[in-house]
Amino acid sequence: MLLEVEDGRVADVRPDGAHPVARGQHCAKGWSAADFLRSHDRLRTPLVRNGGALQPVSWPAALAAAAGALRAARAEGGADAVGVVASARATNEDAFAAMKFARAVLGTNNVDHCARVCHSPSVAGLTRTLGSGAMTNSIADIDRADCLLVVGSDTTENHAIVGARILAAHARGARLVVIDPRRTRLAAAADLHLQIRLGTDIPVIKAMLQTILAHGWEDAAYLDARCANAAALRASVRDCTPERAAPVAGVAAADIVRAAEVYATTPRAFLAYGIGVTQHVCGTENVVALSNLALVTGHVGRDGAGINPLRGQNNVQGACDMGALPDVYSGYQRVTDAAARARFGAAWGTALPEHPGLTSPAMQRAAHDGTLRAMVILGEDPIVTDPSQGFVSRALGALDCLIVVELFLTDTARMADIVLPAASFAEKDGTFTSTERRVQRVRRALPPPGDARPDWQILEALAAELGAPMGFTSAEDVFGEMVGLTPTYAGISYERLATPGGLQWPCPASSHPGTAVLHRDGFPPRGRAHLLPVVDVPPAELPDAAYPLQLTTIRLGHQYGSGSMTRRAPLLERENPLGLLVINPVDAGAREIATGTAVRICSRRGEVTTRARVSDEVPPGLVAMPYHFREAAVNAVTNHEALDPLSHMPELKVCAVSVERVQ
Amino acid sequence: MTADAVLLPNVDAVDVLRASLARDAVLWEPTVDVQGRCEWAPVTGREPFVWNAPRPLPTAKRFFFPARETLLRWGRDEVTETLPVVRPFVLFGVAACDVAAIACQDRFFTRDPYYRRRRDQALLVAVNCLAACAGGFCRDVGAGPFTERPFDIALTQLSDGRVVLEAGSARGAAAVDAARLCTRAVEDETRAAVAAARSTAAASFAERPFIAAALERLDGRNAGEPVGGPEWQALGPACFACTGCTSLCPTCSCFTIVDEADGSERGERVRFWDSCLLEGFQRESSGHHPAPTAADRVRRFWYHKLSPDFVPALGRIGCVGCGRCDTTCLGAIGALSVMRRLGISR
Repeated sequence: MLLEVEDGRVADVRPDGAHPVARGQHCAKGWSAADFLRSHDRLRTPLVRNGGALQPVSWPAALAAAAGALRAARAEGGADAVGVVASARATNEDAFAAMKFARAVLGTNNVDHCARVCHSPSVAGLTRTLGSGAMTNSIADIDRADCLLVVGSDTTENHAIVGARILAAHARGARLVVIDPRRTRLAAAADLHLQIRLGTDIPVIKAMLQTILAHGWEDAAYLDARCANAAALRASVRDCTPERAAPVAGVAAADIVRAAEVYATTPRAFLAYGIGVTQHVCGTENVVALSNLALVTGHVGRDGAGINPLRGQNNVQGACDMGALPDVYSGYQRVTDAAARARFGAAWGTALPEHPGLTSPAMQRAAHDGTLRAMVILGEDPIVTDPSQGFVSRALGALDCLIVVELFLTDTARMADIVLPAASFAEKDGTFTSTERRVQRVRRALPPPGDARPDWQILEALAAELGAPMGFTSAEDVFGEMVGLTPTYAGISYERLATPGGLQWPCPASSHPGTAVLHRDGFPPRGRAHLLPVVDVPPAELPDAAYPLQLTTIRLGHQYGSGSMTRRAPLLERENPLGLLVINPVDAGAREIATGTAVRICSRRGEVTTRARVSDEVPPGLVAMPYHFREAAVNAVTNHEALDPLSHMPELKVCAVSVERVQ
Repeated sequence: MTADAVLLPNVDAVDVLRASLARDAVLWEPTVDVQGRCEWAPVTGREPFVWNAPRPLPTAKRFFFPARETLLRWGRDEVTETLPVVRPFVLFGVAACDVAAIACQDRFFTRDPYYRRRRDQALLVAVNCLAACAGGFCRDVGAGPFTERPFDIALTQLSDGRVVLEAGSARGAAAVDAARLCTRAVEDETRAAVAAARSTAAASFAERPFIAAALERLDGRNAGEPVGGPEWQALGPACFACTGCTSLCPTCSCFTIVDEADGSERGERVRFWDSCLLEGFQRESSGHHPAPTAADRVRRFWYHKLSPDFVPALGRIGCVGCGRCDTTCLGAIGALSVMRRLGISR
């Protein structure tokens, strides 16, 4: 992305014709990417709550207040009474500084970020089965694939460049199979759409596996040479026939068989999935089931194939890689591994905590229960984006001190005791790591407004105020320290990132060209991939008489996350109404609802009012709401109590609701 | 080529001309960076001119009609019009397609003071393309590869390296005079060489008979074979409403007006490039929409770009054959793709 700056403002944004992924293209959000920078309501100065209201103060005053509050929280509750939430929108340098700040300065592993609510089950699941939790292949592999299997991903809306490439592959003759409860753009174009009932991925995938094994469509040589535990997997799906799965999932058994045949018997099959797979109480199991499917058919470690979690935010892959997670340092080195802990401890000159920290839902629970006393939240707006708005506000409200680092006064920032103004992507140097493990430079195009600063500088200043400076003087400095501690990034430097494509990790040495396709030769750490039987887990909350409909959350192509950036771009903001409920004509008719009718959506957690859009994009019994709009926050009704036990992913994709016309 | 075209003494005279132009104006040229990107960039005129630079992805329209432009500022008691103050500038190396597009923009913005302020300061130096560029089809829509007015100066490099210069306006002629180039009158032999270069350039294009067939089908005067609904319906789902085509289209001129208030009784009125492919472009406040589906909007856009019906309004058909939309379209429904479907499909 190229920014053209004139008179201190971004005059124009253009896609990079020389970039291997962009190739002269942007999604709608890309073309409008810099418009939020024009907003007059950017935060320009630190704010501290005084007499009930947030008041502008100097940096020294704000830092002193923040350091005082963090010290007080630690004095009362110990190091684990504080927590840090990093940002998937900020740079790798910001995320690395955040995790170092939590661990080396505050002395806690309580550090997490919003991957928790998007792809934490991918990290948990694929790390167990393949040894690495990222896309195994690259976006360009779509061009080489003969079959595309897309599961739980509205790819054209949420990853438009990837979705466009899938449509192009389909147009040149590749088979397209979509598994999704909604009739998305890709589903409508597909050769086969398995429109499964919400939360029935596992029975369908197991039935596909059973079909493949029953017909001998598996890659037997690959299974023998490269996978472990095949016998157990085979036994676990023996009775999982398509005929048994069909009524559960609401699809025809013959279609399950067809999907299995196309996927298994096509030599190069690219499996892509999104948060429709992960945001379930069984998110990790869902991911493992897909991993089993890809491994049994030998589709991992080859060109034009692979298992590919599509990461949504610009740097959510990077924030995970940087170890802004409670159980790992950068490069997924476990905090429980004494050698890793010693290495980081030695580099940072301090003893590091041994036990994994709290995930963000656990931090919210601990805040709610009074054991977590202070939080630092950088560039995230959990009041809008996390499940059960009422619970999140009570939890954040119970903290002794909430410190928010932000571009704008978001709903979360409004609750803060201290707000620190941050620099945006256009105003700082650093790196981002894209969904295909591509590490790329971002360069400062203009200065931050007022007194705003990059996250890493804010954290460095706060560390110094706490008497434990981290020693970072530039973004490149942070990157250099990270590279020295992170084997997968060891060969990457700012100098090597000068080309528009950057480098794809793993890149273990300065002469290494980077890695487009993982697992060509083996799976870390033992050489073999692991097949793991999975059990059927229904959604935690099923419809009943009081809440007869299932609600799922969706994203729209012209918005991003909580909308704090995209909703300040005039063309994007104009494109959608301020929230909407997608409802099938059958359910709408029964409730006298038409497109535009005001509707109330109620669940056991709360209620929200918005307007209906009647569409057969959702089947009868299912309604869908985007989560971008604070005026109609779907997270007022979502379920925060149903968590995937392994990853702590909340079941954002399923809850039971009632819908009624507002009189 | 007009009678008063002249032959430059040698190819270096082009650099003399550039250096002369750069003395009193900002000189912009299509510039290729180390990564192979071609962008309009300011140059000194002392570096050698890059002949045959690839087509820059951004068009020249932003020099006259910026993507975001403040129109006025207001305070509690006053409103100040913010007409741009623009130094003279030269666009050196404009391709024929972009010159043709500037002619359309000149018509559309005839009475727009913001546009005129910028446009009046610009000197356009066209460089005729000697071969088709990748994805370009200017020849088939009558926009190139050799340029027509409104250029101020046009240059043609001949196969033996000689350069023919043609002044297209009094300002262009004055700029040539100021450079004190030792030009010679063009003789018949040179005239023939220019014609040969023009034929060679025109012959370098791939044959795409579907273009003429598609344009004919879109001509409203043709009672014969109009484009039917189902063909557009099939294109609708391919549009992602990304705004890429309209941002890069050199003839697109739609804008929206946004008031940016800072909450303290001050603010500014800004115009942004808009896109008729967005659903919000024409949604009425009642919720009624004259073009409710993506297919309706795709049809409207391409009809406007490709139908001869718009020649009276635009001075030519709305597409100049630069191919930028084909590069940037996520759904593979840029101009060439659309015409291929409409021109061959039955």
